[in-house]
Amino acid sequence: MKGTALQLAEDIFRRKDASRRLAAALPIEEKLGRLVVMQVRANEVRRLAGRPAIRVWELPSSMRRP
Amino acid sequence: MEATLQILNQLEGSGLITRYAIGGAMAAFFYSEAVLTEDLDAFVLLAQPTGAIVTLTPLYDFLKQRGATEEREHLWLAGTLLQVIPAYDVLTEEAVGEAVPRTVGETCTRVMRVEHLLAIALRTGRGKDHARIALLLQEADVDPVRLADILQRHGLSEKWNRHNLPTG
Repeated sequence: MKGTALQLAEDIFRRKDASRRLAAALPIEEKLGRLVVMQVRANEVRRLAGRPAIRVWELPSSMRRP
Repeated sequence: MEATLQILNQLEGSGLITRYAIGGAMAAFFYSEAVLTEDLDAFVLLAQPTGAIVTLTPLYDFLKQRGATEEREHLWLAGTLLQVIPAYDVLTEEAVGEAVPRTVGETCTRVMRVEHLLAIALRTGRGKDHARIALLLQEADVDPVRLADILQRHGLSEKWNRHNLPTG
């Protein structure tokens, strides 16, 4: 696709939003599988950045809400 | 992740982009405790001037030559889902330009400053962006002077104040 940087970015964000909506409709087993994959990746970054890993079952207490 | 960043550094060295920086949820990860995200958003400054007609095809070709494959709307590169996003306005261009160096493992990279992440999240304004603002304000070490300056220069002060958010 060609366009201005803004047009390209808007297209990327549109596709990401569409992907999220599709993901929201997935079966819970698939969602949990993705959650675990995301957590594995997140922990990899934490480890590389010199921070301790967070286990999935620790997330509710570590994720603060406004 | 580290291998992905090494390839992004090669991309920058190739001259196809002038600079890149990690943004989005993965960048927030460097300042806050728990963030779950699926992909790495790499914001890039393209060599062309803002407003020019551009394409990401040469960048994608460069990354595919180094093993990237397309997966849904992302590139799957060295074990990481990657999203290459051109800096698309003055705020994101500034955020990439002023991104700070960080080391991931043994690889140098750049991460957007937390104050820019806050401003971009405010401008984007989705529910998840507001949640990210709240998380960063709680957990990150925010420079209130820098934040106020960025908000003021990019016309976001009123929006920030409308949400009753603190700057310091």
